[in-house]
Amino acid sequence: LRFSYRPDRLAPLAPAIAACTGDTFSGAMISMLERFNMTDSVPGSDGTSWLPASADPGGGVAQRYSSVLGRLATPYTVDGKSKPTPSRYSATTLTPSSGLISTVRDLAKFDLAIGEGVQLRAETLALAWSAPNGAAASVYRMGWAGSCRATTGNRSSGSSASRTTDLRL
Amino acid sequence: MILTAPFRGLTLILLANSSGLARPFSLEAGDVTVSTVRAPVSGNLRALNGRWRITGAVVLAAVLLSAPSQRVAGERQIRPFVGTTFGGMHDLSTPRTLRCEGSRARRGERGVAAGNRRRSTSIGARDTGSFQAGDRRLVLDSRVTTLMGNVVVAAPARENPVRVRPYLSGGAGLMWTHIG
Repeated sequence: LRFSYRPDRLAPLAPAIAACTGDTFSGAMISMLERFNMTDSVPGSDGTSWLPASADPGGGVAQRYSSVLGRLATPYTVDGKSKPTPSRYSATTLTPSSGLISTVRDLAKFDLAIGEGVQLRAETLALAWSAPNGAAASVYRMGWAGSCRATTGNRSSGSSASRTTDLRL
Repeated sequence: MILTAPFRGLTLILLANSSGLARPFSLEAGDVTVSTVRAPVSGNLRALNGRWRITGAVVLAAVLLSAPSQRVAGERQIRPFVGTTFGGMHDLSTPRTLRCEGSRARRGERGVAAGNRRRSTSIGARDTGSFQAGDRRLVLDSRVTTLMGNVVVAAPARENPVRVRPYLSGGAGLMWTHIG
């Protein structure tokens, strides 16, 4: 089993989320951002153009999106000679794998919600942190890359496992 | 990039506006430990909860991102600061030794100019009411103005594979005092 970072494999999540929520994928994401009070996040740089009026009757959300986009950091590319050059964000539309504009604080809110079981059930989280079938000894988890190494711990058993998992957005 | 240790309740969130955060390390291979960003957090970390968890993640991200980069071409900064002196003793060329009583707030500006090999720092501060003479009120007005600067010349980082950068540092300072 070998890990492969394939963001395109996340595309089927859009119709699945739409079916589960009874909303469009974008609409469900807007609802989630509002639910978690992620007020500095925008569902794609083109989010203001398709924001349904029913979801923003007072126009406050669109105004907030415009404010966030106005503060968006200038992207840079770094060439082989370590010279940075201003560039443009390639992803403009929110998809299951890209497009979300957010901040560290907003992502921390999302992480807290995940950890506290607000968005996912405990058994779902446990499944996400577990290795897929046939890969019990692997360092990989369900869609995540992880590492596990023995460290000295303070438990009664004298040792514990330290797991580190990373997710790239 | 988000690093999370779910069984410790710890998450590190890093955002960058360039590909330099991840591209040099081939993280798509699934091994985040090759990243020089991940390396500094490989120690024994403690889990934080609630508000402190958010604050800790933000502070840690800020510390990591403010670390000297091998790729930085140069930078200039002006950093306002506020400091405090606790019970310092001053023995200047005055008729008597005057004690700096209690804590005194200090404020000023710190200027930093950094390049790949050279880094210079200058600090200017103005401190009023530094010298007092207890209940006898022998000192009615006093102030201290300081100006300090140093230059650090370091070996280029990219030419040093062992990540140890020898450097030389030197500087000087001036202090003006006024006691009325």
